[in-house]
Amino acid sequence: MRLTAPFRSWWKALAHRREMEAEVEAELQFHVERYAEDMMRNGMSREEALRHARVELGSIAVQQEKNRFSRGLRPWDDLQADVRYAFRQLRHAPAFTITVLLVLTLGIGANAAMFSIIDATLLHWLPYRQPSQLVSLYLLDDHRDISWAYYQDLKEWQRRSQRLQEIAYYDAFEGFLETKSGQEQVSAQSVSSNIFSVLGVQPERGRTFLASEQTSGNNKVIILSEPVWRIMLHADPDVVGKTVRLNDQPYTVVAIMPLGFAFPANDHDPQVWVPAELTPAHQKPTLDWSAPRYQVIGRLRSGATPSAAGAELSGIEGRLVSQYPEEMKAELPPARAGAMPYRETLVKDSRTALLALIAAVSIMWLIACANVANLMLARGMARQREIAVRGALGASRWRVVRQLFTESLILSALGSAAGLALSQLALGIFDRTLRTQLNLPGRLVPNPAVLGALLALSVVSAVLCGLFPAWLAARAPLEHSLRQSTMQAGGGRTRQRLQQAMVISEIGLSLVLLVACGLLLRTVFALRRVPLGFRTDHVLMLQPKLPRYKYRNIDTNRTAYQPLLQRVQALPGVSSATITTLLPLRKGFGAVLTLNVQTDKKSTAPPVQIDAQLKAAGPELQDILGLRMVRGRFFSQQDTPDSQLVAVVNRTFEKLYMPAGDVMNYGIGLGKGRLAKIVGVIDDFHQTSIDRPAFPEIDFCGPQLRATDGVYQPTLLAHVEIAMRTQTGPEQLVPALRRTMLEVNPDLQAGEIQTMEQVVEDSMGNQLLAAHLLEVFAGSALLVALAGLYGLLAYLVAQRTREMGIRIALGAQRHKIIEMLLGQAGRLLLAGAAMGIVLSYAAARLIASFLYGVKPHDVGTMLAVTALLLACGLAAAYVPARRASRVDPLEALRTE
Amino acid sequence: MGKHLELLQGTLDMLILKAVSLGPLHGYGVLLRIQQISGDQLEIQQGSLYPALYRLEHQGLIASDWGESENNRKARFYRLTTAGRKKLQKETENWNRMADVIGAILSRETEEA
Repeated sequence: MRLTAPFRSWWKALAHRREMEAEVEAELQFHVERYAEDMMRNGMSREEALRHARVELGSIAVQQEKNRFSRGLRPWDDLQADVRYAFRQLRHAPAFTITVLLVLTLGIGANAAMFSIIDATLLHWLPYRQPSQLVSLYLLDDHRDISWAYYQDLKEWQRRSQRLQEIAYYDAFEGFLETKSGQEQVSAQSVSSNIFSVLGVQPERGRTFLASEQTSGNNKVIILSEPVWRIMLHADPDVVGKTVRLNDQPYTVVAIMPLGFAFPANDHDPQVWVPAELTPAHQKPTLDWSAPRYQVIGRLRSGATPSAAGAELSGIEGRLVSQYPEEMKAELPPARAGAMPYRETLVKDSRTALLALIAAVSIMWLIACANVANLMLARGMARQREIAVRGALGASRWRVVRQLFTESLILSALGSAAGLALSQLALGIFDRTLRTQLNLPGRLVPNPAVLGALLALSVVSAVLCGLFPAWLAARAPLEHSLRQSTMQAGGGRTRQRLQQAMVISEIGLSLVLLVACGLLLRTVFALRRVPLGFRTDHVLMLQPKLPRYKYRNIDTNRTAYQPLLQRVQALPGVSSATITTLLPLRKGFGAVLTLNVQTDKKSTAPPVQIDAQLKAAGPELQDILGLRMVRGRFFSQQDTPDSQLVAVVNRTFEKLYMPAGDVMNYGIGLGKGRLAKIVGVIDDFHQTSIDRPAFPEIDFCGPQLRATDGVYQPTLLAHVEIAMRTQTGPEQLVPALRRTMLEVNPDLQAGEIQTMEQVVEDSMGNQLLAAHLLEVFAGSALLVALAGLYGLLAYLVAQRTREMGIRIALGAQRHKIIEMLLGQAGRLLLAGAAMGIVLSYAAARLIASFLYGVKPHDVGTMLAVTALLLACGLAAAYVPARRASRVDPLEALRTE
Repeated sequence: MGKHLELLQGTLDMLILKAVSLGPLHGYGVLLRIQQISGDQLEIQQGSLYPALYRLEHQGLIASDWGESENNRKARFYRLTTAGRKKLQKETENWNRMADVIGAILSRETEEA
C-alpha cells in the first residue's frame, strides 16, 4: 500500500500530465474564489479580494512546479530538460554532431556485425535442452587425431560411466528420398534409438524410436525434419504412419521433428533420421578394423565437466584396449578417449579467425571512442564559457556533468541505431562468404542477446567518450573561464596532454590494424603467386554424383562415367577431357598407399615408410593441367589395356624413395602378376591446399586398370571427376554439360561443375575472407584516426588564431608557421607510430596461423604501413596548418 | 486578531493529517479548520499548503476525490487513508512525548545545588 501509492501518483503525473495540471489549476481556482468570498464578506471589493487571494497563494505556475516537486518528479523533469537542451546543442553544431555520429556508427556497427557472427557461431544457439551438458565423445590416436568410437567400446562406456547420464551415437549416410518430383537428396543419419532423449527434444508429432527398432526387421522406421516434411512432402498432415521410400526402401514415418531442430547442428541440409541397425558385426566379441564405428554424443550429469568425463572414459578405454587384438593394440595409445563440449566441435576450425576479428573490431571501437572523446574534449573547451555561466547561475557541478553526459548518451544511442543498420547492410553483403567460411545457419538477424550487447556497448561508449570530458569541463574554475574569452582560453595543460595522449593511442591502434591488414594482403598476394604447378585457365571440372544405394555393386566407372566422358569429349568447345580420381586443391576422396622401403638389404634399420596418394587418370590430364615432367614421360594413347602397365610418380615421391635407388628402375605390383613400370616423374604441385607442400603421389593410367586390380576400388570406384580443357571461356560450357549429364543418365543430375580458377579461389577462402574484413576494419580505422588528428589540429589551430596573427604581424614567415604546426603534428604521429609498432609486434602473433609467405614480424610491411600512416597523418595536418599560415593578422587581432 | 504564531518546521503535515482525520475537506477547508481549531493563533502560508497536500497524497497518507462543495461548486476533497491514520497516531505520540520532555526541561527552575 505504502509502496504502490507513489508509483500510482508518478504514473498519473507522467501519463496524464495535462489532466493533472488542469486539476491542480481548478483546485487553486476554487481556493482563490472561496478565499475571496470570505474576504468580500468582510467588506472588501471583489477585485481587491481576488487580487489579495492570488498574491497570498502565489502564482499558479509556481504552484504547478511545486506540485511536481512534491510528487518526486523533479529528476524526470530535469532529464527531459537535459534531453531537449542536448538536442538543441547538437543541432547548433552540425559538423561536430555528424562527425561524432559517423565515427560512432562505424565503431559500433563493426561491433554489432561481429556480435551477430559470434552469437551465431561461438555462442551458437543449439536447439536442444541444456546444450551445455552435451559433449562429443571420441577416440584419440598417437597424434591426438580424433577418430570415431567402436560400437563395442561405446557400449562399455555407456555401461560404466558415472559422469555421463546417457550416450547416443550416429552416423551419416547418403539418402535419396522419393518425392513427387523424383529422387531428392537428403541428409540422412542412422542414429541410436535414444538420441532424441539425449538431446532432450520431443517430436512435434509422433514418437521417437523404440530400442527394439534397432534390430533387423523392425528398423524400417523414419523420423522427418520439419523442412523435409514441409517442402519435400508438401506438409502432408497425415504423414505419420504413412510409408515413404528412402534409397528405394520403404520406411514408416513415426514422427516429425519441430521447426528449427537439426542434428547434427552444423548440417543445414534437409535431414531425416532412421534407427542404426544392429547387425551381427555389432555383436562380435572381438574387435577388428572393420568393426562398426560411430560418432558419439553424451549428456553430462550435472556438475560433471567434459575433461572429467574424458578422463573417466580414458580409464574405461584403457581396460578395453588390453582386450583388443594384437595388431590393433600396436596402433593405439593407452589413454585414448576424449570429450569436448558439443558446441565447440562445431566451431573449432573458425575459432582463431573469429578471435582475431574480435580483436580487430575491439581495436576499431577503441579508436572510435578515443576519437569521440577527443572531439568532446575540444567541444567542451569551446563551451567552457557557457558551462561557466551555467555554474554561475547556480547549476551544480553534478548537474553540468549530467547535462554533458546526456549529450554523449544521445549521440551514442543515435550512433548505435545507425551502427545496427550498417551492420545489417554489411552482413547482407558478406552473407554468402560468411556462410560458406564459417558454416553459419541461414541469414544473420539480430536477436535479443545481440541487441542487449549493443545497448551495453553504446552506454559504455557514452561513458568512455563523454563522462571524462564532461567531468573535466565541469571542474574548470569558474572565474577563470568567465574572465577570459573563448578564443583565448588555452584549455589547461592537463587537457592538452590528454588530447594528445588520445591522438597518439588512436594512431597507435590504427597502425596495429594496418599492419595486420598489410600482412594478410601480403599473404593473399603470396598465395596468388605460388607456382601451382598446373594451369588453371580454361579448365573445367565436373564432379558426377550418383545415388550410391542404386549403384552399390555396379562398376560406375564403366557404366556411367566412361559413357559420360565420351560424350563430353565430343562436345564442341572441349579440346580434351579425362577421368581423374584426384584433382588438385579439391577436398575429395584420397586413397593413401603406405609403402615400406628397405633402404639396404643388409641394414637392420627399420624400413622407410612412405605414405603416397593414389591417383588414376587418363593421358589427357597432362595437357589439361599442363603438368611438367621432371624425367621420363606421362601416359600416352599407346598405353592401352593390353600394353605394359605404367605408372608415374611425383618429385616428392622420388626424393623420398631416393635411398632405395632410382625410382625409374622400379615397378609397382598390383597383384596377380601385374606390375606397373614407373615411366616418369612429374613435377610437384599443391595437391591439397596452396599453403601446404606437395605430398608423395603415385599415378596409374586409368584406361589400363582392370576391375580386378587392387587399386581399382580405391581410385576409379571411389571418387571420380572429369577434368576438361575448353577452347572458350569455361563458364559457357556449363549448360551444355548439364544437358549432356541428363541425357547420359538422369541419375547424374546432381553433378557439380566448377572452374579450376574457382577451386583455387575457394582454397584461399580463409585468408581471403580475413583479408577482406581486415581491409574494411583497417580502412575505417585509418579514416577515423585521421579524422581525429585533423579535427584536433584544426581545433588547436583555430584556438591559436590570435597567436598566429601576432606572430605574422611580428614578421614570422608563413612557411615557418606551417613548419611549426606540421612539426607538432609530426611529433604526435611519431609517438603514435612507435606505440603502434610495439603493439603490432604482439598482435601479429594472433594472426600468425593465417600467414603464408610472410613472417608475422615482417619489417617491410611494418615500414610500408608506418610510412603510409605518417604520410596520411601529415596530409591531414597540412590543411589546418595552411589555414593558420593564411591568417590575416588584422583580422585575427580584431576577433577580440 | 491576536499575534500569530509561526508554524514550527515540519508540523504542517501533521496538522493537515489531523484536520482531514475529522472528516473530508477541500484545500481551503483544511486551512480554515486548522485556523479554527487553533483559535486563529496559527498562520499558515497559503503557498505551502498545496505542495504539502500533494506530498501527502503522493506518500499515500491522504487520498482525494472530486465532489461538491457547500455552495455547489466542484472541489477536491481530501480524506485520511489507513496509512495516514497510523502515521497521524504515531506522529501525535511522538509530538506529545517531545512536548513533555521539552516542557519539562524548560519549566525547570534554577538548579538547586
